[in-house]
Amino acid sequence: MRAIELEIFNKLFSAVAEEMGIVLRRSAFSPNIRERCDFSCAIFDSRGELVAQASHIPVHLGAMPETMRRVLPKFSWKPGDVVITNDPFCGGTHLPDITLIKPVFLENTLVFFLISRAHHADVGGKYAGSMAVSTHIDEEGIRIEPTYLFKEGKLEEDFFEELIKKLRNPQERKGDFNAQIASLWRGEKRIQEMYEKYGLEKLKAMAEALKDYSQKAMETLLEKIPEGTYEFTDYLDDDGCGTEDIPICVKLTFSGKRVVVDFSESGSQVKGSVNAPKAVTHAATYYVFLSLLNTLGEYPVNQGCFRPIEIITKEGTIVDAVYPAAVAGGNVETSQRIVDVILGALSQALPELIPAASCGSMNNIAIGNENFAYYETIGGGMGARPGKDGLSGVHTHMTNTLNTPVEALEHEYPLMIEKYSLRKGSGGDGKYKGGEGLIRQYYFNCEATVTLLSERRKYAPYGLWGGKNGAKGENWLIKRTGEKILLPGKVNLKVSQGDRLLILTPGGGGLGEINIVSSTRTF
Amino acid sequence: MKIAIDTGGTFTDIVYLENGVLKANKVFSTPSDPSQAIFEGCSGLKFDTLIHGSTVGTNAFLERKGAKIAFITTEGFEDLLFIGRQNRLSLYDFFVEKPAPIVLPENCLAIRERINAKGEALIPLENQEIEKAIKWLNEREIESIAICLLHSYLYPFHEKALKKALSELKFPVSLSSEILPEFREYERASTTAINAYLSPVMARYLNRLKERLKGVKIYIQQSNGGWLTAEEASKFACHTILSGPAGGVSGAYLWAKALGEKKIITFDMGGTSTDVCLVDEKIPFTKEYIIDGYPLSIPVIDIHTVGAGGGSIAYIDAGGALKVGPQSAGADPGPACYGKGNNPTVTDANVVLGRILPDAFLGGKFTLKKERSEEVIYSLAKKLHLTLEETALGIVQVANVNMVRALRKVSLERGYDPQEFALFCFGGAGGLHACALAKELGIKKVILPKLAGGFSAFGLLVSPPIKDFSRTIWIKAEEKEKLHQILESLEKEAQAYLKNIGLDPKNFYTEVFLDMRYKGQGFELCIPFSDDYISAFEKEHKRQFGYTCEGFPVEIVTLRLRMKGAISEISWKIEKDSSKFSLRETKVFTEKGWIEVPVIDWNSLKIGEKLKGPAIIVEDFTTVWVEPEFLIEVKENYTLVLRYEGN
Repeated sequence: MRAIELEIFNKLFSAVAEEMGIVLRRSAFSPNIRERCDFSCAIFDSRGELVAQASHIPVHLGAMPETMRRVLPKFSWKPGDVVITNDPFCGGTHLPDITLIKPVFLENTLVFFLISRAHHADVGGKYAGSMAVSTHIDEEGIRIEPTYLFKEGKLEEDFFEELIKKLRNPQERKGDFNAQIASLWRGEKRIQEMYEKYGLEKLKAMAEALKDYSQKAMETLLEKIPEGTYEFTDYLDDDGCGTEDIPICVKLTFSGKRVVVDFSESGSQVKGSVNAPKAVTHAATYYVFLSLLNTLGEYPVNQGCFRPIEIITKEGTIVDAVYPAAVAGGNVETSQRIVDVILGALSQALPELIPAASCGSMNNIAIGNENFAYYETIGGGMGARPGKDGLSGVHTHMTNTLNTPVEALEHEYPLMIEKYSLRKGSGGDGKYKGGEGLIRQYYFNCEATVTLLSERRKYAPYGLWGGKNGAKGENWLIKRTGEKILLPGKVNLKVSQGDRLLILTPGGGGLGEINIVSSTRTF
Repeated sequence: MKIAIDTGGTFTDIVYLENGVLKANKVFSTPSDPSQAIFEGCSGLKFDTLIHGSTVGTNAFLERKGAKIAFITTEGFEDLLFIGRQNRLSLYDFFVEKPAPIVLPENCLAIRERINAKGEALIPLENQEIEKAIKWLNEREIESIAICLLHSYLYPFHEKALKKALSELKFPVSLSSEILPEFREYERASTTAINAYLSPVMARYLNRLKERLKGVKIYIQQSNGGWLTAEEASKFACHTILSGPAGGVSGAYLWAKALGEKKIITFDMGGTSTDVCLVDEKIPFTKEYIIDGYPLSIPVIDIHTVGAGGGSIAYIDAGGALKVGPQSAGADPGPACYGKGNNPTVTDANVVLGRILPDAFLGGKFTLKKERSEEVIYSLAKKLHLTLEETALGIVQVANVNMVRALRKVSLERGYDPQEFALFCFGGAGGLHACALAKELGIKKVILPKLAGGFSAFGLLVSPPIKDFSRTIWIKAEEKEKLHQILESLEKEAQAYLKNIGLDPKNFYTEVFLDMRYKGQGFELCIPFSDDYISAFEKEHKRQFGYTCEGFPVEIVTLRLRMKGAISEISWKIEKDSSKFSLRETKVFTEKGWIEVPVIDWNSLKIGEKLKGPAIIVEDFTTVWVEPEFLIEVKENYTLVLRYEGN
């Protein structure tokens, strides 16, 4: 009967995580969560192993196992507790991603944990939006080391009020926290109902069985990959603070049912904010292998998928940053480059499955002043796939956030979007063409500070097997006077009323030698 | 006389009242020209009015056989329909695709004009821009035009000016400010483009139908559960997307009401998919419907569909788990027991378990091949190291989990407890699964009308005419006076509109809804208008999300006005046929092994009769598997009410 129960419990557990996400999204306040869906929900077991997750944001989800590994031993968990953290040096990603963790007790024993992680529009710090080009974690915003938000069901009011005060737009933050808490409550209720129906032993046994099942699937995948060692290096443009050409190196070693992913040769952590905490590096690695697994069939995503994957990083490097590194961009930019290098290495082993490099940047823009904080990301071109062109104007790999409708944005903020279109000709040519990047032009109706965190302004997204590179991205400031200034990839700047910002995002790399009679372009 | 016709994938159902008795015909559909089956199905009937549920629009969309359209929008946003919300449809998938396009990139035109978020024309629309558009359109091979300008829901005059000028081209023009005057440009553009894409197809089809049915007044069911004139449906074809399923829900609502049930979850299981809808005293609506990747943001009956039906195919994946669907064997080749295909399906599993009787299918006109079912399921059983029966039971259980998930989505996930609802089951395959689903969700009562085939058509027959109006207004919840003013002007507009299409507003009554949210939220809750709409909003927020935000300002984003035709009290009677099957015993496989079960012809039951499960109740178009611990009560019109007496 196992084959049947696996499918039934897979659906039951993942439905809980999905419902948590629905509650969070529909009742949240900041556009980040409600319009862009920049959040994730998951269920872990009492050992801190992932049991089920909803299909939300890869960079959040893949980082959660590390969060649990770090946070779980720090507390003696009691019913009604909720622990809060955003600490990148304790399994977090970057400061705006605030994580709430709730233990679920059944028959007086700790059985599961529920996690809700959401990107808040502001967590304090020097610049509105908390996504600035900084040189120290303390400048980026409030770092919440794991601590109680609720202790045995009681809100830690003093702590919460203090915290809220330090954030811009505390009312909106409060609303978002309410929504996050509501999602945990809902998840707990559903687990409780599953328990009443199936009993404790069954739930525990099925959580284990699901993990073993996924592990077996991942092992089947890894066994199919030709044994050997594959290496690849790519570079981050810069850190916005003087360091350029930051290498990220990976060495993949496949043997039997296992893979070792070694990042030891990557560059040292840098002054600017592109440092990735270890959890982010894990997330990027897991993303690639989960996507490969998807070519075999639809499997539940849980800790079992990760067991055959060993990840090696060196502390103090760009992929395993330590205090006091600034990390705002590690999560959003460096994570994408980590994916690019793993794919580059894999393309040698699995040429029939691996796409050329995608946009490689989330093109982050944070805008604000004393009255508002707004943050968004812009998609780009997807790398060409074996047998298919890349998609145009989409978010790729580590993110999948939606855009904010222009009409909603203009209604709520003193901004106008003057252009939002595909960047024609930016996709790398090839037998299969890279997808086109995007163009987005902002008009400012007031003075504001703007932060740009973007990549692939210097190193283009690579093509594969003779396909051309995708076009690099460009950031322009157009002054009220008409003067056009090319901006660096990462910058904090002040804009005046009447200024414009023009962002051209990178296209995807092409794949294969150009064949004149070949494929038509798709959008 | 009025008749109702629902065109489905396999059958076309005709339903009408003759001296108060509900009559139903069934003929095979003719997909290449659906009007053919309609013509055949109602030959010999004398009628002057037809209410029609049509899948012409839906099918044309899913198969991308709509019109060649041009899309006109504000300069800088010409790729709006290609960018969408800039997300991809699946996450861990290197080979993900965007939904197939409904417009060619070269048929998108940017117009120089701009309206700001206050509804002011920042850049006025100049005549030369209009002339440019006309010239551009003349150079293209198109059949229909969609226009969506930024913020046109606040300031529709640029769109209107374009429409007026373009009328000389003789193409149908769909305006976003007419079709969906609400904010969120992509959703509005998508809805408008869908309309332009389908309207010429719908118009051609309805013209053909009118040719065949001269002198008959034709009305088309819309996705909101009400019908409108054929002319309106041709202009606003996007409203016909869920025409048939909407009929089913309307019918279930009335049928249940006649039995005194106001809280039901409808469950319509067919060959390839299952539709569910939760009715809590009122038929619910959504404006977040997505069809094949494209948002359709007009009010649509909130029906959730999953790809699980009788024809869903069972298979074992590489990791060794048993999966069912969403691939379906459809009607052709169909389940293995139809004799043509080799796919083990849910229907085959039910045959193996003894729950479908091979000789009672389609009234005995078509004998199923039980040995084919056993053969294909046995091949799965060998791989799973299970017995034939265990495997068949597993297939049914996995299919049930998929359907339970759909039922949870419309109930628990929206803050409703399914235990307070009755499961209202229609459609050919639902009766085999209803008891199991009810048990799984703690539902105590299952209702099955004796009209499984043709229920959607019945719904059409009893639906009122409906026309929806809306306007994004963005005001504070306290601004009551302003609200009343806008409401009054919208009401006048609505009445004028009805008059204009030849309907008398006196025969309509008005329902008003407010889309409300805490200022700063991104989703609105649709609240029926009342004196105390603010606390109604808070109550609903608490119900759905478990909390309220005290002291947070509340805003009204969109005002909705529904003009609904008053429909005179309808009563209907069902007459039973002569019974075809004499009482006998059969064997059914359950979790507890094989058990002896009586087979009862639905036509042999008497109103008021009470029986005990287990039982198999058969009728021409459906079979009901009543599990042990369910009591059966035969209500008026031979409706079966099953009550769960277990824990």
